[in-house]
Amino acid sequence: MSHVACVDIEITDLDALELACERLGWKLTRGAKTYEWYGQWVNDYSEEDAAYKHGIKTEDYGKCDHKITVPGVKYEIGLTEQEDGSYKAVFDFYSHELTEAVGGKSCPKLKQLYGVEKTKKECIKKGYKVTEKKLKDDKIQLVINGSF
Amino acid sequence: MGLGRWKKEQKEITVTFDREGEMEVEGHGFVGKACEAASKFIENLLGKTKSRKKKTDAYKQGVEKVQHTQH
Repeated sequence: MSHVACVDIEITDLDALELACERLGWKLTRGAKTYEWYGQWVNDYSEEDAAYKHGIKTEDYGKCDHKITVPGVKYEIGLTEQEDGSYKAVFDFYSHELTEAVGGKSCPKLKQLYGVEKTKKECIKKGYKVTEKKLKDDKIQLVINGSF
Repeated sequence: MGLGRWKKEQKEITVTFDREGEMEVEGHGFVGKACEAASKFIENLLGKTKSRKKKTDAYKQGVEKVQHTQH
């Protein structure tokens, strides 16, 4: 089934995304033009997060600019570049093994670690000292010090 | 200046990401709107701010909480 959903995340930095993928044991392949999914649109998914409701034409399902592969899982996450230079992440969540591996349809593991890596990178670039801490309930905290 | 006073004046920002990827920014040791200015660049890193919570009593002491949702 062609249940391609758009993840609620604004990706602007592929280097930070790659670091997040590495922490998860996933692989970012830059320049990949296709990602694995059901293979054809059969008009069977139209919820609010359906990719076509977020500017991605159904005829472009399976096409991407970069992709993320989770080891041992056939289906993949596609990254499609937007006019503003950011990327949308889409994947066919009908693959239960991919959806389970990424922590759910909203891809929370990637959202969390992309946020951590992007924030760390930009703070360090500004000369701030950043310390990462793991908290209970799987929270990750960054403590930032410097001349604000 | 004693060490205690230095510690009291030290400014710090904490950014916490929960398991859903939602981000919360807190400033410590800031006075007034300095906290908001200092954390503004962090707020803009991952998308637009969806909601902003500010505790009035905490704000007076230089503590500000800002919640974000990535887009």
